[in-house]
Amino acid sequence: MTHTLEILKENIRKAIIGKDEIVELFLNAYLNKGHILLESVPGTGKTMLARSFAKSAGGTFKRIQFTPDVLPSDVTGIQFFNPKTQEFQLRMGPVMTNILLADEINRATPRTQSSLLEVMEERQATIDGESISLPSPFMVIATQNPVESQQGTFSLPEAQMDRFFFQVDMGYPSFEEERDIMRTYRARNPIEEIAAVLTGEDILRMQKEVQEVGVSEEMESYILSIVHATRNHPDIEIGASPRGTLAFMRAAQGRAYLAGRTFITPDDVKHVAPFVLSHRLSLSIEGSLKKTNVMVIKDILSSMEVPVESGGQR
Amino acid sequence: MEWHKQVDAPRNGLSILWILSLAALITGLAAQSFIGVLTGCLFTLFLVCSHLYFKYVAKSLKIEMERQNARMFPGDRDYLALGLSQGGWLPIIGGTLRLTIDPAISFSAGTQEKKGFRVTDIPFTLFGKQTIKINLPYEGIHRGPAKIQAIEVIISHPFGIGTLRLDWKKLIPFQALVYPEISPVLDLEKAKPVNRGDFPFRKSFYEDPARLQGARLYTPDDPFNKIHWTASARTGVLHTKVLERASQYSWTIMVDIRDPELELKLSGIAYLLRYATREAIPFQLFFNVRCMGSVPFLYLPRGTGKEHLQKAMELLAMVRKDSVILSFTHLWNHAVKQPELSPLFILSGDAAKGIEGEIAARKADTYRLENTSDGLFLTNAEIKKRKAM
Repeated sequence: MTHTLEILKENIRKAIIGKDEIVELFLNAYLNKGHILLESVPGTGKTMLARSFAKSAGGTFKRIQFTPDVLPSDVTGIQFFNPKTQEFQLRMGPVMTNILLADEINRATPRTQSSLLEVMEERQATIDGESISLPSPFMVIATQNPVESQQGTFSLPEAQMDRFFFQVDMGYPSFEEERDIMRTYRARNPIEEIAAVLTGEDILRMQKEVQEVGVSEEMESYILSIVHATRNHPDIEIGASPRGTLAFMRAAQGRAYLAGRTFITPDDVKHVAPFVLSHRLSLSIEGSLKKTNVMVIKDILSSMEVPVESGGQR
Repeated sequence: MEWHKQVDAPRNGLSILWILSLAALITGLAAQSFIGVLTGCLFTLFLVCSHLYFKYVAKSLKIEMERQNARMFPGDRDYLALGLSQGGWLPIIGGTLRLTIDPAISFSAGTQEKKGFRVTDIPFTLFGKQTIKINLPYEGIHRGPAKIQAIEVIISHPFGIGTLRLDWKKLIPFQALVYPEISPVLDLEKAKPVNRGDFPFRKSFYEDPARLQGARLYTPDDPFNKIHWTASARTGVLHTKVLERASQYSWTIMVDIRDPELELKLSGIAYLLRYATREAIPFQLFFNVRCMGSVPFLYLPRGTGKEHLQKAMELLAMVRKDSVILSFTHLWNHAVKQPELSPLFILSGDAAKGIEGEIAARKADTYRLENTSDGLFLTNAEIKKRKAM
């Protein structure tokens, strides 16, 4: 598995420099049938990374550029009357794909954003009462700029945030990474050189294998104690949901699987915690004045007793 | 070199030592005395080593510090994490790390006040190729931003002939912002909207489609969806709906920074802002502080939610009493140009009273934030006037 990950990283590295950890999170989410929300300031390569990953992972790829006038039917699809056949005909929207890039998702109105709720959770779209299953594997990669710096944006509702497996902040590249970016993009656009290194069958097989990674009772308790701490922390108004608990466990399984292990360790749990939990928490007014979600999660992790014995129990 | 370097050594003393060592060396050579030559050589070697030590000890010395932005209330605690790394082989024995910070925060140990800043000395010893991590606890003392103004390393010579002072040249990526204390404002319920949602208002660009005021004759530039079909059918002439002007309920808070009770008033405003956020009341903030840019004063546009509150609290923390001020007329002129005028103005400070008449002329309510013996109160200026009449 580590070999597959290395091939994927190497392929994406042609276009995206210095984001190996994020590529691993992408694959982790994909293997766990999850979706990713990329958040960062403009110009840090969110869309480019999503496109590179989609091209590398194979399958079909579609993109929606969200604007305030995009309608739900532009996302899911529409039944229209075809005058030639004198019948209503279904035209599916861009959701009928393996990887969907929802670019600048917070520019869409809440009504349009909500059209993705069913798609993301149930992997189906209901159009005029008819439910249509989406292809498998299916993943939404959404990007957004930080809300506070934007006019004319609509924050994603809590219910939608909870449906994202990971929220990832791209951040700025380091000095040397940015030098490499300058050199790589000086004369060519390397994204054109990226080819698929995985197939849909590979992904489906790995999706089954990742579920078999063992979670011992100690690790279950560790995950649960962190989740419950988010519900009792004085700076948190709304803690992680049971859906968040499941995502937390699966993310740890995904990390162990990508590292070639058949069991999860406390390090897996600690590593994925900020990416899985930060967007699922709502801080209290006082808490939000002093801390960020990630800071609160780090507080919780540092206050938790780490299980010292964990093995490959199933 | 990441340091400004300054050697504090007694110039005369050093010169005398050089002269003495050379004199001992020459005398020893002239007198063919082994002890004299040895003494002269040792003295000279010692002085050369001292010179080289001061020259090279700081060459690979570095401060390692990640970007840290702390937000806190007075009395809250946090810690500053920094590392001191000696990349070279020369050890530093009995060095001192000196931090000079703004007075809004105070480090827990060894802090002295000097010229309006707080100075903290941290003794350390660092061997060659070693890095030490220092976690310095600090506490928010009073409202204001706090930056580390200077980081100095003071290295004393092992044999006491002078000290080397190193002043860190690079940017120091640390800022702590201490919010004002939150003091309750009494009788706040009267500034709370009775109805949620839109608020009927005479001067607004917006209309509430659910509130029909009446009908008027159709004019060719009226939109189709505003035609009053019932009235048109009854009269046989096209009529247009006249809808009530509406504005979203919001607060406009204007602050005079030259108020003698500024700190107390800012504490009250912090309370108002927290209340507004809890009640989902949008608010905008005006300070009579002159600024560069298209809006010539300190201003936070209308908004609501936790992020908006955070920005507002940051402004409250950063505003300075000694800033250059601007007349409230400028603030009012900007407020009145907005498409939606707030139905409620909250004014703090005497200078703000000058625009009360203007606000009243626009049929908006005005409240003053006043300090009484019972605490901070919101008092309605118009009601007072009516009572006096």
